[in-house]
Amino acid sequence: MAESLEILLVEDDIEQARHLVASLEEQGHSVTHVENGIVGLRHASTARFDVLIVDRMLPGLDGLSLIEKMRADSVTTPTLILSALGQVDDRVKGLRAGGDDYVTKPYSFPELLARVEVLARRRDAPNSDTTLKCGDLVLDRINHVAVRDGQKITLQPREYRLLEYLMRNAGRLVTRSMLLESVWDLHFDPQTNVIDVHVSRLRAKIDKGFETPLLQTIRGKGYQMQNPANDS
Amino acid sequence: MRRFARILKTTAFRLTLLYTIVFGTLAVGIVFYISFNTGRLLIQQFQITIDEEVGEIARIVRRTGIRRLIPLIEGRARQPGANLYLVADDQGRILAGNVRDLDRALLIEDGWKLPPFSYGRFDDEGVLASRAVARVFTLPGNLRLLVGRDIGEAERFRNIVFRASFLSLGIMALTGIFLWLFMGRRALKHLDSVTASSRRIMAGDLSQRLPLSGAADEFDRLAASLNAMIAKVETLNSGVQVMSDSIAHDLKSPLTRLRNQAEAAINIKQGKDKTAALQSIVDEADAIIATFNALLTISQVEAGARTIERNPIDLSSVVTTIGELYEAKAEDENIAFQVKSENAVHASVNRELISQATINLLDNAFKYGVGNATPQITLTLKKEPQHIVLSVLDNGDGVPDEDLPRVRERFVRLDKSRTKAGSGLGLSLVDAIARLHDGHLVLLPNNPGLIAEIHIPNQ
Repeated sequence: MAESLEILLVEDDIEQARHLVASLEEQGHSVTHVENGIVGLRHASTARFDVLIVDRMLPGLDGLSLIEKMRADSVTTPTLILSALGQVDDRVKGLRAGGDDYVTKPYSFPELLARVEVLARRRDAPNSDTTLKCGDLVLDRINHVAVRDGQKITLQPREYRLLEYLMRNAGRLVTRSMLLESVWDLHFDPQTNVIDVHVSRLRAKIDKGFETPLLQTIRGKGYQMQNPANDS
Repeated sequence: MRRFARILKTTAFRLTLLYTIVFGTLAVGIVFYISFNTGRLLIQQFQITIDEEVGEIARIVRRTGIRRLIPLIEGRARQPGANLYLVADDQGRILAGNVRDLDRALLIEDGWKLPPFSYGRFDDEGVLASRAVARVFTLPGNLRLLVGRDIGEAERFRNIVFRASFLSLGIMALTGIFLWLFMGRRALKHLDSVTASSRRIMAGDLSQRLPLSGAADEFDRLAASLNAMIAKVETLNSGVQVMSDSIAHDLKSPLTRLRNQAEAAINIKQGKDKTAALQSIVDEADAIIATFNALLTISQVEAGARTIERNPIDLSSVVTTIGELYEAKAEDENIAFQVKSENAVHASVNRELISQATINLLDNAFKYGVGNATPQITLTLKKEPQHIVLSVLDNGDGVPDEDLPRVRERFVRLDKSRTKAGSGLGLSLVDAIARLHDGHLVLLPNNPGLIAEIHIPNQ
């Protein structure tokens, strides 16, 4: 189980919010829910939350303005934007306003949860370690080489980025669209299995011939690097 | 009566009213100005003449003595014309001249008697019926000499000018009002027919058009452009109808499937099977949502030429990245996949939409273009003189010629059995994205296979 997060949810659709709050709390997070943009901004400005989840359309103050005002006050809390279906430019506008990630409604809860947890972690862990470790697998971030149990594993540039992202988020679910975004810089829900092929190639490199598989497929959701140290 | 009330409300009537008021005021002003000036000018002329005459009489009297005065005045008085002469003694008794009677007070002081005064002529009948201006002058021996001029003629002239001006301006005003009303009525008639047609159009008959009078005036031009608009609305409307029919049709089967799966899941006891059944329900629902999302994106792209951002990027980087994404899949599935991209192909595009379009084309090729024993797929980006061409080429079964124009329509799927996943919206979205970028989607037979090209005009 990942760490417990303080989450602020600003969402005016009460039915959806109730559902989301229940699901997040079931995962061990504590959620403060407000329905109004102005109230949301007041809460956000206290900077006591780990992650904000902000709907775009809000009474009082819309989601993007809320984020802009909050960023103007130098509040850096990672923020995930929720938006309606089929809005082509929304993601770009949302990120420009100061949002950190973006999910389109109707979202799948595992996808949302995965993104929220990755966002929260991004704040905690500055991305500056020269090596990443996951069980007996070590990734050298300077030479872009992986070593497992003393055996050197050579990686293609794209495989390196894939593994780096998975290892940085070890112990957490990483969805296909998160991989597509962070490794390929492509932003949409992949309707194809193109990612799976890349992941299974990577898995062949790092897991084949070893006793404990590190890279696992979570069916219907995505992938996860096991972190044996945390599992015990 | 109602018709009259409606005329009162027309622009033509209001303009007429305004025109009448403004024109009337101006006309009255002009008439008064002209007649006032005419009168003043005449009286100035009279004063000059009178001054000359007074001077002349005074000179003669000085030279020849006062005794010559009476005959001189009598002589002058007998001459025809509008000149007035009068000599009176200091008691106001008239000694000579052609004035029979006047207000004696006028004779007391020397000087101009300018506001016209009344006097009696010998041919008047006992009343002071004529009017004149004059100058009074004292001669040696305390005699009063009055030299003046009858202004009857001038006043008559002024009246003629006055009446003529009024008459002509009045005729002009009446003609104007008549013309305006005539035009207003004509416009009203035209608008009436336009209103009637637009009612029928609003009632839902989009095949109706506004009538043209054939005069090619501004009403016709307006009606013509409105007609063009209605034609566009009609096309869009029929598009919407076709589309909502297809949506209803194409979502009915997945929704039915969803319902059946849910029903089946109810009957499964707890356990792995139940989880699997629920998972397949979620998958089915996700597919429906994906279809809606594609539909919404298409309509947003089609509507959004102005709101969707475009930024200058290097398209070759997009193509290379996507190519790399598909390389692994191609290798896995034994497909000969090639990416041929020119370097640095710059264009102002929406990066996400262009990536989406490229992926849709590749997805189609990987799904439907691999029927060949040695399947080949090529992703190409090249810069031509007119266009940037982004193309995906396969050597699969291709699309029958008769279906080529149809496949870009929404929900059109050639896979009749619909065994492969897909919404039938992929090419529609590519088409919409190409058009958003002022370009178009070109589909060509590759014999065997299909060539799908996105053409984007070079800036």
